[in-house]
Amino acid sequence: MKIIKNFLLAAGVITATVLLSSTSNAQTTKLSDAEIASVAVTANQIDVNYAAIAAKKSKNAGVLRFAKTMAEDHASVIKTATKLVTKLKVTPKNNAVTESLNAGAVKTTKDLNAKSGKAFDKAYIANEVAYHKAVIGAVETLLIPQAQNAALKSLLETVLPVLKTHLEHAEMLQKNYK
Amino acid sequence: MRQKIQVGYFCLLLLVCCLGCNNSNQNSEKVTAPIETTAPEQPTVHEVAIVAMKFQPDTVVVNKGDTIVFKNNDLVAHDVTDFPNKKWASPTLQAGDSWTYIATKNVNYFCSIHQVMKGKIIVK
Repeated sequence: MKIIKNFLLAAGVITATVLLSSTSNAQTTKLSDAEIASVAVTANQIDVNYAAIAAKKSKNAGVLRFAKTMAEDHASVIKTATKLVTKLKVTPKNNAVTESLNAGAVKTTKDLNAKSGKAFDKAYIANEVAYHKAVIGAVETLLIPQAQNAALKSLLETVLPVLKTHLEHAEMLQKNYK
Repeated sequence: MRQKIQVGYFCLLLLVCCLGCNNSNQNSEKVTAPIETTAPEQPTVHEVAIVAMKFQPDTVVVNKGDTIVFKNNDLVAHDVTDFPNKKWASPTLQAGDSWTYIATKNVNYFCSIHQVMKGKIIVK
């Protein structure tokens, strides 16, 4: 499935083996609500972590403000999601997508940490654009359609405009680096 | 003959006085009747919901002195800030918070946290 492929690519899962395996698995993989909850929380946490790197490395006011927004908004989403799964008595379940996301994040984190100054800002914002595009695609075409519980589906639908606004904001900042 | 004319004048004067009194009575009745006054117009309260990362409605047309209540019904925090000069701003509105603005002139505003969210207030 193209969406999962993009999702994993954006998360930094570039190795051919993992990609081929994830892509082919994605065509048949069905995610349970517990697995969807895990993917959702992980995807949000990864962006909180990227924001923490930006907070340490960037000196650009616009980038710092954006990173602060990412940290706060994605933390809010995690808080709401955690509250919901607790209420639903669903325990987020680790799965191949979650693991791939985490593996990709390790690589992206390494790449970002290797940069500084304007090169860092450019790379951070470019990653935010790609990451949000991929996550939006995955939420729209994978997580929402597969969610069984109405409240979980509703939360994912509520999160979607947040992600789209983040993408628009990131693209606005990206114009400064072209 | 002169006497008749004088009596005639007198009668005419009396008639005029009576009519005058009648009129003044009518006037005084008007004065004593309940005065119909228009109470000063109360400012209207308009609500702008912040939901799905949008100000809804994003444009409000109001009278000078009306109040606009911004209510954050979203999942994340927002604010309402003068655009583009940031001359005024609400505090950060967490989910569920409200903030009231009194309209005195046309203004454009945005959310300084999510800078692509914009709205305007038009004073008639």
